[in-house]
Amino acid sequence: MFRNYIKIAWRNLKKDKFYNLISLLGLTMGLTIAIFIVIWIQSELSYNSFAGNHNHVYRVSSNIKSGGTVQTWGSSTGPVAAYALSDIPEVKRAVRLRQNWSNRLYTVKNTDYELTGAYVDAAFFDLFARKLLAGNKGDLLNDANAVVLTKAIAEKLFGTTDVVGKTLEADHQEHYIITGVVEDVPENSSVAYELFFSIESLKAGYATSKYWKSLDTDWGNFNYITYLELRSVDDVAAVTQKLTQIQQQNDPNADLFDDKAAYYLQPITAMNLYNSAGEPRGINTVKIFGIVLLLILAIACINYVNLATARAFQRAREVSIRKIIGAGKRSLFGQFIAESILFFSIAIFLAVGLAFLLAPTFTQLSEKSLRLELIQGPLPLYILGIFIITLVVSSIYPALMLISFKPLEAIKGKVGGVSRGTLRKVLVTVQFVFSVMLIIGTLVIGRQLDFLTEKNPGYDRSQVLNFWMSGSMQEHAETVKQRLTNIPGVTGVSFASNPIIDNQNSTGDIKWGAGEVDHELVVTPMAIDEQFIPLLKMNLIAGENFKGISTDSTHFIISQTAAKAMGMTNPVGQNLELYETKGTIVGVVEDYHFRDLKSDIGPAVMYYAPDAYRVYLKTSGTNTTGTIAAVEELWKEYTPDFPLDYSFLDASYEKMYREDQRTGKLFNLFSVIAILVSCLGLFGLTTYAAQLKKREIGIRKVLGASVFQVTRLLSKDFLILVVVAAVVAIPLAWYVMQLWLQDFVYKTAMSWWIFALAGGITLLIAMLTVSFQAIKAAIANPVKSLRTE
Amino acid sequence: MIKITDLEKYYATEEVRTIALNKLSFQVQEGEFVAVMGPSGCGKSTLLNILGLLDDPDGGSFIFNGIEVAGFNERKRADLRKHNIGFVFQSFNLIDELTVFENVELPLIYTGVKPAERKKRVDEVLEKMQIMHRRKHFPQQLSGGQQQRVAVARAVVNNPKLILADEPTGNLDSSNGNEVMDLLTELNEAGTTIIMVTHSEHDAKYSHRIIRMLDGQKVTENVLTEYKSKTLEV
Repeated sequence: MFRNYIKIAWRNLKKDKFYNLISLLGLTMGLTIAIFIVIWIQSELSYNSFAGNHNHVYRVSSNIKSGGTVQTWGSSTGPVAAYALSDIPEVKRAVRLRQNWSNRLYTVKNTDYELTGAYVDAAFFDLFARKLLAGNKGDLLNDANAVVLTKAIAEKLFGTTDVVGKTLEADHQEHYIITGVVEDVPENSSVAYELFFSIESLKAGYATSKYWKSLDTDWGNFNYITYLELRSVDDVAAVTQKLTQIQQQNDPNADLFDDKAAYYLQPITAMNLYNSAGEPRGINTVKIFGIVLLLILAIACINYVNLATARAFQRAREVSIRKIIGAGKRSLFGQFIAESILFFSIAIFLAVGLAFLLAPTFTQLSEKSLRLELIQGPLPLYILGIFIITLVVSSIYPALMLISFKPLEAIKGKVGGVSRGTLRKVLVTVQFVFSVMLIIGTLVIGRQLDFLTEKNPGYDRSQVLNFWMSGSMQEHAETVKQRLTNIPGVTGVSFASNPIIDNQNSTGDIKWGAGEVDHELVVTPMAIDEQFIPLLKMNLIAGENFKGISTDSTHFIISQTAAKAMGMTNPVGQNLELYETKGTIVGVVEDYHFRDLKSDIGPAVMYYAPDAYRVYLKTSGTNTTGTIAAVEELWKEYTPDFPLDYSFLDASYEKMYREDQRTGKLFNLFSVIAILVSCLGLFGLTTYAAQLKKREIGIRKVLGASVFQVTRLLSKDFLILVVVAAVVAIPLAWYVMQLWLQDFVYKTAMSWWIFALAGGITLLIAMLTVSFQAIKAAIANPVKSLRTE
Repeated sequence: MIKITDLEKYYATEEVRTIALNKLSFQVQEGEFVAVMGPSGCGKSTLLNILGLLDDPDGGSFIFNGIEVAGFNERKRADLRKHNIGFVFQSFNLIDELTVFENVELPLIYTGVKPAERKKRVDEVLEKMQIMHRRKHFPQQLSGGQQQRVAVARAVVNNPKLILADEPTGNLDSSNGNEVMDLLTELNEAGTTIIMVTHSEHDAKYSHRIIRMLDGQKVTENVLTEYKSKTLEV
């Protein structure tokens, strides 16, 4: 019986090539995109999940009091891990990690490599379940100069993993001994480093320190990411409480922290989608892509249902004959389900093939190495899930509709086609509701991204080249500045301590007003010289700039927000103490964004230092290549061993929103496909309607109807549906996009015209799709259609 | 074999109620060949639908093989139908996507006959209808007469007790029409009961008895050949 079903299904497929092709094309496109979205979402949700016991591992964020609120930092101090391990039995493992910023170049056999490394506690490899491929587990990171390589890096540098005992030269001066090789850390992780150094080498630095005696008692430097593996997920609250207690008892600056909970334990699997305080960041994008996934699948399914039910009446005769001959409802139902299974199998097969084919393009677009793992992993299950759900959703209604025909009426052609399709109208409307929503989404995301890149951050970022000075360069800061100024094309030179685009520096070491009152304010400090403010065209709203004279060392320029946070209405002339340097405020600068626009503008304090490490060069923009070449030449004089690592402010600024740009690009792609699939369905339906009404059109034309009248006759019904769809879609889209915009502190307005435009675009696309067939039908020779009747 | 008494059927729209069958009564004995005639709209097709268990009467009694079937549900009717009744239509109603062989095989599939047995029986009946050489063709590749022979083959492959024919020669030229009527006569002579709706006086003459209808009622009944029932009354 089943063979018979499949046989007839196959013959049907071949017979009705046009509709089946449209249906199949729509379904295949929908499924392909669905596969990509699933892979993308899965990748987002599987962050850090390679770590053996990842559900038990947490990152310790610090809750720092600041101006009446609490700031949560992703970093913590050295003692947290030490105490957690010794005093809290619920903690199974504790690991500190600090990126190695000091080394950049690694040399093997005269070849330089730029690699990323981190100092870690030895338990790192257990906590993150990295298999040891070479070396002795017991003595991996015991020595200060030990380094562990990942497999990929060992092979890249040495061509083998048999490298234990070999030396790795760093920055042409330090030498590390390789003690082990571990398996690679997946990219989708917060610890995707290539080299692992011993945290012991950091401990050495404390021998000469005046204030903090050891890493394990240094409560002042928030230089570490602390990872805790708990014995049970139920212990989070208890561990948080114990850590708070420990901090309050041992930290000399105990009141710096939030009294209720000094720390926040964040699951490491959530680190990419939530910020260090656990507030949503990327998760809303994941949710929106989830919605897009459902919308696209729904659109593809609706296409199938619409075309299947529209053509059902052609099958009505066959069904009736089968019924009369003796087919029961169950066997007929089985037959149509079998047909859908065949159809969907072909579609999913094509979709998987297409996904493989397009994977490189998609990887490029999403800038993620997304893998199509069909043999292992959960992907095959997801694909099967999509297959079954779409199949069930799409096949049941058409099958029920087909078997419900009254055989004798059907045999005489008394079953309506399009005219009977109330449900079909609803489905077309739903499909266009989704399309309008996607168009609105595309427009809002595009607007927001433009808004971010075009928003004035409070400084002029055009044509500003910047880089870190090397140590030898910094020793001759004044000469370097003079020589840079003389380079043709350079119109201004300034030194500062931090990158202005993303200044992660912060301190609570600030006092103001009368007495030594601790105000619990965390500010973002930055050392600048007198050229900085004019070079970046920052706006001084009160007082004056640094003058470049020795008294500047006790002068401060603060931001508007800082003034407000310190409760100053007239800040200029008031006392301020930063990093134990007492001085006065000489100027107030208009607020500027020193972090991305997803964060609020915080208080900023600028102090004077003429020889800070970060170089800012304003260029004329006429001969940029020449300017860069000259800067490189100068760099080489002081730092022959290292290449110059420069960037332009505007490029770095855009890079900051790369993730969002990517989301925008993906969203565009998904919308276009979704709309295309919708239109395919609409195209099929209009073609079908035109075919059904062939005779009517013929008669009307014989009676004198114009091409326009006939086109209107065929288009009107569909276009009304699109209008209804737009009305329904607008509030829904508004709600969803509101959700996405929540991630941004600074956001574009969702103006009415976006919604109007989306409706207009959809209507236009629908009109083009519908009128193509309608006009074709309208200009056909009526004699022909009437003759064939 | 068939006894209908005061059979009623209405068709109602929102405004009009049409009476299709108005207290119609008659009997058909096993092995009989009955022709039903009358103008368009007199209720012939409605009657055939009810006799074929495709439709339910609104009133009256319908005894088939000694069982009251008026009021049977769809599933029971389908079951009774597939084992006992074969249909022949004016427009043949073959399934275009199936070959001659597959079309004829279909009733056997639905009654659960095993593949080997199916092949044997389909071959037999195709042989008998002289269309064996066309077994792999699709309906559109055949002439009208050939298609109707396939339809008859499909109607009889299950050895039904009753064949209901709805204008079986309506779409055929006279020579093909005669051929089909000869086929039906042969089947009848072999024991199959046949009820045939027709407009053709010529075709009606092949039957034992002609029932003439008007406005849902029987108006006359002409016995052409006295039929000797092999069994007694139902």
